[in-house]
This record gives sequence, C-alpha cells and structure tokens, in this order.
Amino acid sequence: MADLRSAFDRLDGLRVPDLRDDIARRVDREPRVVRTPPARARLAAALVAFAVFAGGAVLVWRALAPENRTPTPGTAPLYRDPAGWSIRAPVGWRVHPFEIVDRSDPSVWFRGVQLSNVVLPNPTLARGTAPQPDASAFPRSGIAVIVARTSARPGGDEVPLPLSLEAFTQASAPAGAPAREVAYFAANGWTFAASVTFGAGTSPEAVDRLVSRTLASFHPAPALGAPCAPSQLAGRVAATEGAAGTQFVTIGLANASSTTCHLEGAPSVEALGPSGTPLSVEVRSGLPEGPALQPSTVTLGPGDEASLVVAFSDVTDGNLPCLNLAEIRIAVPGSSGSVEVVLPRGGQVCTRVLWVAPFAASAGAA
Amino acid sequence: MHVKPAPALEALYREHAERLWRAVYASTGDREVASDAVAEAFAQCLRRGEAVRSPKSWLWTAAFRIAAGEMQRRRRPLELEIDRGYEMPEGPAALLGALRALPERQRTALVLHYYEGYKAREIARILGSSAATVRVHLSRGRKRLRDLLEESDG
Repeated sequence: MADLRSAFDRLDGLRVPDLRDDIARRVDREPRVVRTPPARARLAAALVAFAVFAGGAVLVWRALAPENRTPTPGTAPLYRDPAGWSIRAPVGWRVHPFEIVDRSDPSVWFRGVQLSNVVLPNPTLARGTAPQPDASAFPRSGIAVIVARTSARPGGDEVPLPLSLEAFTQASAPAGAPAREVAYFAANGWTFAASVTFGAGTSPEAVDRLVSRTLASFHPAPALGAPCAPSQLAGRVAATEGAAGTQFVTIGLANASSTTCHLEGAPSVEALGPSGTPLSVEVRSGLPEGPALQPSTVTLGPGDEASLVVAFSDVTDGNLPCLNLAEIRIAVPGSSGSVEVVLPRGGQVCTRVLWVAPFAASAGAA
Repeated sequence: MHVKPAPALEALYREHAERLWRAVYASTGDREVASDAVAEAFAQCLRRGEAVRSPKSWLWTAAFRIAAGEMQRRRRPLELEIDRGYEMPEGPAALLGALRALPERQRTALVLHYYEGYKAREIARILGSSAATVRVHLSRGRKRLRDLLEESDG
C-alpha cells in the first residue's frame, strides 16, 4: 500500500466515546500532574545506560579485531575531494572514496565518498537514482552517509546549504532494505547527491547526532584552486542544436591538467570568420529565451568539463546579409589568454547578435 | 479559578475531540488510555481558560504526553482486540494491527504526521524530541509500516 495518508484516513471510521461528562467532572477536580520522568531520574537512567553501553562496547571491542574497525582512533577523518570540497566523518568512521558510472548512460557519473560506521563495499547505482550503500552488505547497526558530485545538471529542487537531515526525503527501498534518505544540492556550480542510510538496529538519536554533525561539516570549496589558465583548458563543440531559426552551440572546456582550477563569472566570447577575423556582431549575455541565468563559479577537478552555450539566429531578417561563423574565441576569466574552438560545420549569424550563457558544470568526459 | 462555561467546552470538544481521541488511540492501542488522556487534556485546557493561546496545539501536546506517561506507568502490552470501526469494508483494522508492530515513538510520529498532518518540527515539540530524531522515526516507521501493510494485503 503506497498511500499511507489514505490508510490513516480510515481511522475516521473508529467509534469515539462521548467524553463530555467525564471532562466536566475533571474540570472541578484538582489537576493531575502529567507523568514524565523527572530530569534527575532521566539523567541517572542515561548515565546507567551509558555505563552499560560503554562496558559492553569495550568487551565487544576486545573480542573483535580492532584494527579492522577504526583507521585512526581518536580523530575525525576529513575527506577532501580532488574537486576541492570536503566533509568530516565522525571519529572511527570509514572513509571510502568512489567513482561510479551509470552503465545504461555513461554520461551520468558520481564521484564522491561513502562515510560509514561499518566496513562497506563500493556503493551501487540503479538507473535514475543516487548512489547507495550495497544493501546486501548493510548491517542492522550500520549508518552511512554518501556525498557525491554528479554530472547531472541542477534540477531546481536542490536543498540549501548547510545540509540538514530535515531537508532530506525518503527514498523508496524494497522490503528488508535499510531506510534511506536522499537530497540533492548545488555547490561550486555542480549538482551533488547526498544520501543517509541507517539500519533497523540503530538508535534514532545516534543517527540524528552523528549524521547531522557529518552533514553540517560539508564544505563546498575550501580550495577552489587558481583560476584556470588557457593552457589548462581543452575546448570542443559538445553539441549543436537548432530550433525555430536559432542555433545553440554547446562548447565544452575541459581541465586537461592535473590540478584543480576554476572558471568564474560570465564568459566573454568573440565570433571569428573563416579567415580568423572577428565578426561584427553584438554579444549579449544569456539566451534568447528562458529565464535569466546568473554567472556562477565552476570548480574543475582534473578531467572535469565546464560548458557554455552560444546561440545565434541563422535566419535572416532581410536587413543585413548573414555572416559566416567559423570559430568561437573564449576569453578565460582571470587571465589575458583565450581558447579558440572551431565549429566543424560552421554557422550563419544572420541578425548580428550572439547570445552567451554563463559557465556551467557539464556532463562531459572525465 | 476561572472555568470556561459549558458552551466553551462544547465548541472545543466538537472541533478537536474526535480526531484527537482517534490519534491517541491509534498511537497507544488502548481505548481506556485514549479516553483518559483526552478527557484530562480537555479538563486541564478548560481550567487554564484564556491562558491557553492555541487550544489545538495545547490539547494535542497534553493528550499525547498524558498518554505516554500512562503507558509508561502501566507498562502493559497493547490491547489485542482491535476496534473494527463501523464495519466498513475498508476499515482501519489492518492499519491498527500494523501499527501495533511498531515501537511507540515511531507509531506516534506516524499517527501525528499522516493522520493530523503535523510536520517533523511540530511533532518534535509534542513529543519533547528533536526534529531530526522525529525524521528518523518517520523514515524508519513509514518503511516498516508499508512493509507490514503490504504483507497484510497479500
């Protein structure tokens, strides 16, 4: 039964006793104290519970091989991704970096880390979902947090930073599988997928405390790297699409170097003719249709690719002859250099206007 | 001590009593506890008069806390007999049966969320917990409840 709300609506079929007389009698009596354990008793109970738990934990610790459980006792491991973001795991947790590609669509990839209180194999990926811990190996006592950058473009339903478990939504899971919560968020111009998985034997308070602290430690870009230099970037035409007299050319700029760098701000481009001479066209920010696009900073780890879209009308308005477009020259922000990208099939710029959308993270090659 | 007149009880009762009773009953599984908690919450609310600024919020919080205290004091298993409602072909028996299999906190969080539409933060206030903890209860509880309801459907 998928719709729990309708199942609960059936409670309206329950007969309810008439309590009016009972209430009226009680109003005239002394109020009853609501029975909740006094704070001192709760504290004592908590201390006893902790002592029992700690004693048990020590025994279990001694009985099992400790070297296979805590990489560095006493320190909270920090995972720093090659793309610059970082996240800190609770003390004693495992840090498992991974990269996973959707077999049914190789352009969809996830690169990030699986943090867990137990040893887990590489995460798995089902089509159309975020990476998840291998359910077949997930114990009842397991808690895992996965954060991964993905090639998917932002969908507009990302949760804000700082990350909070409250913002996550439940992911569907088969019977017997551990519960899983998922959220998507945007940082450094990229979309990230985050998931929290916890077994049936974990304490909700422990999940809340450990996971909330871990999620809050996500830092988008402690090290953006330097602005990308032209020599670090390789340009290509990633796609060309035409619609209603407008050509859209997607240009990919890949970080071909071994160090992380970033592209910041709105791109500045120039249209070049077949002889390499600049064409006399007006360059406008944005795209001919759709919402205004805000420039963002795109962090490029080694092999990452940013993209920008250039659009122009290839239908004449009868006033001016069309111009032959052969190359796009992209000024690299923060440097005096540029990257030239040849359009293999050329293009016709007919209204003397070239539209340029901001840099965005791309689903390009690794 | 100022006591609200009978019309105040009638209006408050008509507006809140039935849903509150059903929710407490679904959460505790005990008609006697539900009736006692709801009656006591209404009595205390009326006794406080105008000092209660949001009667609904006050009533739900008080009733659930009274019921939780009573269940803790009794420490007895849930009733085995399930109210069959109005003999509706699609009555609440399956849901109530499935709820019995869940831990108390999960059960209460699910009832407050799915029956009365409370959000995690509001449920946390009623239960004296944190919103994130309630989310974990909801997440785990709804998954288990779905599994149980599917089993009972099958």
